[in-house]
Amino acid sequence: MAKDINIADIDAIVNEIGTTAGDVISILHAIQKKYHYLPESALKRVCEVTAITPAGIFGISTFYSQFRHTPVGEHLIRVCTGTACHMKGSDLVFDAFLRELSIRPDQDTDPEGRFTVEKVACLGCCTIAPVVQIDEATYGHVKTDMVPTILKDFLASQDRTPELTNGRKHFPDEKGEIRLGLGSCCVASGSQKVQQALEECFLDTGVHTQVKRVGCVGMCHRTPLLEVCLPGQEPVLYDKVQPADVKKIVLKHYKPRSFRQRVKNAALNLIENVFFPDDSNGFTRHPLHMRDPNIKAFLGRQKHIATEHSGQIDPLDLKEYRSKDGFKALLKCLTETPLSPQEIIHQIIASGLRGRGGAGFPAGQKWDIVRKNTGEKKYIICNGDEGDPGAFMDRMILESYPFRVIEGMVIAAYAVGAHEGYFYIRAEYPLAVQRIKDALQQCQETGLLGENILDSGFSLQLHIMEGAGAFVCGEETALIASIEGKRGNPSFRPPYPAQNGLWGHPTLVSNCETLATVPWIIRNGTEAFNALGTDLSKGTKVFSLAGKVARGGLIEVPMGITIREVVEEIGGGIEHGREFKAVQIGGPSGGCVPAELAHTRVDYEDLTQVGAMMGSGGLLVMDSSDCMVDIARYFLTFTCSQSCGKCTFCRIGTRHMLQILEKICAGRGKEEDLHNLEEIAQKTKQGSLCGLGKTAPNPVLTTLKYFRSEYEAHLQGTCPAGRCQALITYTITDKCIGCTICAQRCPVKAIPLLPYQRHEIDQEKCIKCGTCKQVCPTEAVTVT
Amino acid sequence: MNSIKLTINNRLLEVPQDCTIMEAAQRLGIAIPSLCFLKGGERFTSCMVCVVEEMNSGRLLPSCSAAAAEGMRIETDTERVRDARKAALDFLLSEHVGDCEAPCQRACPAHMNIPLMIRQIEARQFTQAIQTVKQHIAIPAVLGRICSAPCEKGCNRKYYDSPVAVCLLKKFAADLDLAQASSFRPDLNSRSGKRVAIIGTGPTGLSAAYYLLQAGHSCSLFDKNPEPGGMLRYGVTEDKLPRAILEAEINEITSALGAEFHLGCALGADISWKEISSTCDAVILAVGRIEPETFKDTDFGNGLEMSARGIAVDKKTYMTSMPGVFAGGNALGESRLAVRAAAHGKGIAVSVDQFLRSGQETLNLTGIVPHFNSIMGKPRESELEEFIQEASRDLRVDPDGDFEAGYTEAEAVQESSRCFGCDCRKLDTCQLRELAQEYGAEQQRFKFNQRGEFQKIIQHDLVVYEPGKCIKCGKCVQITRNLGEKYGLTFVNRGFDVRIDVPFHESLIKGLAQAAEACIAACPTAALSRRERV
Repeated sequence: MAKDINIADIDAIVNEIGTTAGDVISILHAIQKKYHYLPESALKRVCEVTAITPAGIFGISTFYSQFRHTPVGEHLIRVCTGTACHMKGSDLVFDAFLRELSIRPDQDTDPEGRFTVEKVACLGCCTIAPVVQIDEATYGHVKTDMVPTILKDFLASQDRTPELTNGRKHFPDEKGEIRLGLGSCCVASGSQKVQQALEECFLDTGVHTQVKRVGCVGMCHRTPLLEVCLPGQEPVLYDKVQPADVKKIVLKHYKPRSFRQRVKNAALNLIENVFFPDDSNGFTRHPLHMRDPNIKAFLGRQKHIATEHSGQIDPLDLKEYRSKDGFKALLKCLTETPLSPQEIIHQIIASGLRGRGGAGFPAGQKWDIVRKNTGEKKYIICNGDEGDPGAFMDRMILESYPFRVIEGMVIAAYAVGAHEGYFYIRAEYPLAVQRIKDALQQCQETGLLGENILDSGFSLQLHIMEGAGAFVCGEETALIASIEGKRGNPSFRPPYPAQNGLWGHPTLVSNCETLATVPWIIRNGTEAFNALGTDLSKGTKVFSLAGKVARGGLIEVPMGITIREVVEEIGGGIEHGREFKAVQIGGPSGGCVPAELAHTRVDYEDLTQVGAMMGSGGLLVMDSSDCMVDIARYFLTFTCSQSCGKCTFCRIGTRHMLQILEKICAGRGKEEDLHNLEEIAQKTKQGSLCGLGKTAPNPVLTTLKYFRSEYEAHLQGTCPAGRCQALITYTITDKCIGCTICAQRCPVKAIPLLPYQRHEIDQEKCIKCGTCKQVCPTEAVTVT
Repeated sequence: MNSIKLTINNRLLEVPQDCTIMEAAQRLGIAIPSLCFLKGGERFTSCMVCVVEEMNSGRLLPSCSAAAAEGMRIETDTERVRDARKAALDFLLSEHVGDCEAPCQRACPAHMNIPLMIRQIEARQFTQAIQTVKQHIAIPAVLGRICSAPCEKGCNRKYYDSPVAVCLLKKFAADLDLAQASSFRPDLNSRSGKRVAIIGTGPTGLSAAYYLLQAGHSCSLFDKNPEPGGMLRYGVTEDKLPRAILEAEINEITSALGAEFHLGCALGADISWKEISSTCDAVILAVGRIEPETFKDTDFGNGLEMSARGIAVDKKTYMTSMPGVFAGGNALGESRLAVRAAAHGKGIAVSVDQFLRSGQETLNLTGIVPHFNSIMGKPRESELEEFIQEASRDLRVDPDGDFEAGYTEAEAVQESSRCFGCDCRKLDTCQLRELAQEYGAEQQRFKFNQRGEFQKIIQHDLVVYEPGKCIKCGKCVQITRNLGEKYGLTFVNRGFDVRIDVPFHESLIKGLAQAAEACIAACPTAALSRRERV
């Protein structure tokens, strides 16, 4: 193995990053980036030249799931196992990749060493589930039968060397601008290809206008989104834009530069219209006006505070941010008024803002505790370790509003007296990391960060720390351990980080969304914020709305709105006209709220009362085809794999629960299993050390409470939702037209290829992958 | 620094601000159990056995880490606390892979410490070996010849080739002892002044006498037959059990310990219930097989409850429906196994001793309290290699001479080396076992579909590492770090898959270059234990 590494490379990494025990995670990231895994000889070398011990580096590198200890294939295929992806069949997609690449069950890499396939925690692209990443490329809405095509497409794209400039383009000679959504969802849906098409189109047509990349618009269900804004006209929004549509859209709003080009373009359109006769108005995509009833319903009930100027501003354009009141709150605090730390904290307390990370502790009170703790040093940490599968609020906020989070963080740091701080961001969010990095640099260069900010005498240094794949690090004490370069084990609280945090100093750990809300409160006043919401839950909450809802996306709603309003008005109800069954709120810590309780308000206390919790804001909608036992099993698979393993109850209790749920889903459950499950859930809830273990039983307890009959049906050998593989059969009905598509696509040849005859599935061979059902043009495949 | 006032078990005390609840309790002399707490170490909060209840908030707090706070009302032994501790122990035991007592010992009705006897024979510590045997079996030379040896059916070695010849080894130890000029004599307690009447001199009666005499009580044994031994004499042929052996072992009980025999003394005819009950403080009915319906009407059966097959007794204490009257052996009509009869005798002796010492009014008898046992179950094919590491691979030794002659010393030593040594190395010091006993924990309360892998890692001269017994408390990780081990031990992986290992899967020799002794001492279970065995 030693021959595989170059000692000088390792030494260079160490030289660049540092030699203290706290540098270990960053060093491991760098080594993995270089070798795609962690060669043992490299780790041993690190121990020789740093203060990091073998016990330290080995314990840490095996704790975080991002780190690999075995070599990988040339390309890494990562199948997202987030909740939305799971609900839409990511297990089957994963299996399909293994089959397509002939990877043996005990292996993860194909025999040629080209592809390694692995499951990853939620990539936060829930609205385009199921999602698969191959190296840097993201594919959304993946179905099992698309796997060969995706692999082909990926390999073909390897020969091209595209890559786009990330910067903003200035074409001063045309009025207006074209806004292109470049959040992760948009990128995953192909917005970079659209940007490329735009640039080609400009070359071709001579139209030169400004293309502005904007953060998430929130309408993730319709990505990629493109908006044309002309002075004096209402902006026109195009959804689900494909590269082929670009030219037509541009030419609808802009005139080509020369007559010759005009003629050529007209001819082109003509030809295209001939080739696409269905395309009556020349566009495959219809423009959407903001008055469009769907858009109106989607945006109508929303109130943008943390996501202010949603979809309108370039995430990294500091000038633009400032022109839209950005950093005004900071100025107000530091120089204009100026406000004393006590006054700021007083305002935050008065606003009623509660922590948006999950538990909802009053933010102002937390700040006050840190402020009152005298210490030579204090820290501030922005918690961007959004690990809940099915939640992508923090990612969107960090990607789309990096300056706003920084502004909130500087205000908070000033209020509590911290002069150094960290952004702790999941490694699965590379775009968020990059945007924050760029934004920090711009702030540093313009005196909004660093020494003597805006001549106020206040100084703040901010760093970025990338997580390494551990949900438990969202828990503040585990997060701090991780920054300190340790295994992400939580510790008993008290002492709270506010008293005894990072390296023993008082530390304010605050969620991204909480920080992003702060500037608005300071600018608009506490009353404006206080006016929104319920008695105890003030302001707004950002949710990532996904699952079986017609319009998924990132939404910000006033507290107190009911679940039904969110699902039916904003989300447009259940897709494909199925029946609304439940919402899962709060991810693995939350619970399933049945449709009968959809009148429950979005409010910390109300949600807790029905057994769910606000959590960080994942809101997954389920319909009649979702099995509640399977959902409980899914979440337990997640929490079990994410438990740090420190305390007895979480380590062993989650495993017991998972095992019973697996048994029930496999049709081997017995009556006493339900009783045991309930008892283990209660004990784990009561006895676990940290929030992960204390809340891990919630999905089990709520589904047992509201959907017990579904559990009982499983004990009788049926899965009412037709989801649990061991309990279902695929059959082909009379609707079959004998087209043989299913027979051709069946990966195990369980359907004889007999044209013009009603097809039949050989149940012995069937692996229940669902491909036949997906590809059947006449919906002749049923599940019973 | 400010001090803090709180109450623990209703006792008020004042402690410094950073004091944990556990430390505060210690100041009052209240011990709180914990498996993961390392004195002077970091607060790791892993096992969750140390929980206490804070009565104001109703919260359960891990006392090793939770700081004492003003006005707290702590209770350390409420029902909720006991339930929570038991739950933590149930969980820990559900993943515990390994046996406490070896399966052979559990299978033995008399509960003899078989692996210890075998190790003593292997080490040629023959005096100690017979001592081990006689702690549970009063007549080993007899049983060595006629025992059906349930222990050998439990022996794990049978899955590898054939069970260890436990019965022959016991016979060897017993015969060797009897052949000595001065055979093994147990220590006797001071005289209690109490007298026990034992009706019947079969294996039950003899065994009861053997242990009651040791406990300091006088024993009068009555038998209707002219010679003692009951079924051993009148139900077993001489070729199976030479009378000289039987007499030698009875002699150990009579002449050595001072039992008093009344032979040829038939119940009712030669001696009356009134006579016995007025002269003795307790009565043991070890009368052999009876007909319940008829016995009920005899002088001695009068007033006793009967089962369908014999005299009815309490299963734990062997006491009949009449206080002070005990019964065992074939009189219960359950089984005709000599070793079970002998085991009854031992069990009765314990109960009678409790009865005589408790003052007859309270009757707070427990009999022999079974100790908590972790049970691993049948070893898998792959796990046999783990066991055989510490045993010889030779086939079972048959005595060269005839059966009656038994093993020679060399044969016995050779056969002993075949023992897997399934019993736990920390049988008497394991804190998990001790707490499991105290809180009535149940290993089978929550079951995994498949138990974990049994592993015995023997790399180091001093230490054996059994990962299946590890509770992940991390004490050893802290100790190796504090002692400045170059490699030391570390947690590997996370969640349920977390385990303790040497970094880079190096050998324990590297990992525990200096810290072996300290880790063995600190490990609350036998995950890390001393390699050398007694």
